[in-house]
Amino acid sequence: MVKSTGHDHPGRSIAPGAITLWVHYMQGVETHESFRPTGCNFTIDEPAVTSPGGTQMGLLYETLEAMGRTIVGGANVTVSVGGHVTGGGHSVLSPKYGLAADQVLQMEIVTPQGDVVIANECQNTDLFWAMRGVRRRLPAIPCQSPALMWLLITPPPLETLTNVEM
Amino acid sequence: MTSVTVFTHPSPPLTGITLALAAPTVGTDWYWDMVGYVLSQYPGLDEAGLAGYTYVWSNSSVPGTPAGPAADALVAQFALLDTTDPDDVLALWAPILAHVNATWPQTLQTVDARAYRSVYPWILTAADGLYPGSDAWVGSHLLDAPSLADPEAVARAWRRFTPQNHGGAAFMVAGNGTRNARPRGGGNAINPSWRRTSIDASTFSSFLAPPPPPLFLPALTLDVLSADHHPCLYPV
Repeated sequence: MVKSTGHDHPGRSIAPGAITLWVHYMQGVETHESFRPTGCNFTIDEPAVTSPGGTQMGLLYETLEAMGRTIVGGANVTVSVGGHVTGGGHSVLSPKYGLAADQVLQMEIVTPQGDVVIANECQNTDLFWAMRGVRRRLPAIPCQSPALMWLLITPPPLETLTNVEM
Repeated sequence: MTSVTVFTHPSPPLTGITLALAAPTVGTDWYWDMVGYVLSQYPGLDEAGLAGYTYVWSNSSVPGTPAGPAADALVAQFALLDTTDPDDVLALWAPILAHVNATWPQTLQTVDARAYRSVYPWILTAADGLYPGSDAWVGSHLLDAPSLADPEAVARAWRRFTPQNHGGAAFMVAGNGTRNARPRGGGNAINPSWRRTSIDASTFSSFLAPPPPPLFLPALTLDVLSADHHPCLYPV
């Protein structure tokens, strides 16, 4: 299970007997005056921001506020950008700019096979389409521990999981 | 998703309005007639660019409403972008509130409109302060403008839709910006119905009872869990 801030009401961030990948500490804010998607031969001449998936809205709002800017985000400052964007992401700014998923220029995704890929309008376009709004139907996992990644790629018998050190 | 890059936008000034329309006593039929009428006006407000969050409570404790600790009450917070004149948002609500006052004069009403220099100060005031850790099944339906045209039908639906001793929501968070969006790459996987949505209607039913033991409450009230807290300790 991948857990960011754990706001999911039906409890899909946790599960008994599961390995939880907690991305809360993957936070940060990097702003751009313009942005060239990786692998594209053009630049998008509009300001943008790049954040790890665990970044909470409050950090983004506060950082961008100092620049007179904002993102299409929700009204709860503790929600993370990962859950909000991949789930669609409505906002009081949506009537002006659209949903949060409509704002995405690029994503970095770790697939269940363990591949770290860039998804944008120039590469991995199927993933780029799906990850903007499909939410939990396509789980993507953070690459934090090589040992953990090995477990997820080649699941061992259940009895050996109790010996995992994380 | 380990990283995402999104557009940033100028943070617009806005005028926020907070309002509550409550019945002095619970369990009346007219309350739902009033709710049905108000919600049927939302497509017009949506077209005018208003955005925000409405909660419809049924015999439920609603802090801040004038009817007391348990009430039938519609409570809402909205934002009208690109204006700092409270009269702009009050003008949108004036005919609606006039109809409510004329038709259901027993309605208890509070209205407060004020200006904000940008979005973030409004969010800090109007923010959903719910921390993670609430357990609930959520049901929702995206509603377009035609589905909200008949106040009586809306009243019947919302009365049936809203649990007793509980509440439901009507979020006006789509608007023309969503309906006319042009995401990069030509499209994305959001529910296509968002492209004609006026209201996101939802309600929820908690499935965790009784409340968690006090041992876990400090963890639930922090927005940062320490590394010593196993994220699966919360009892499900």
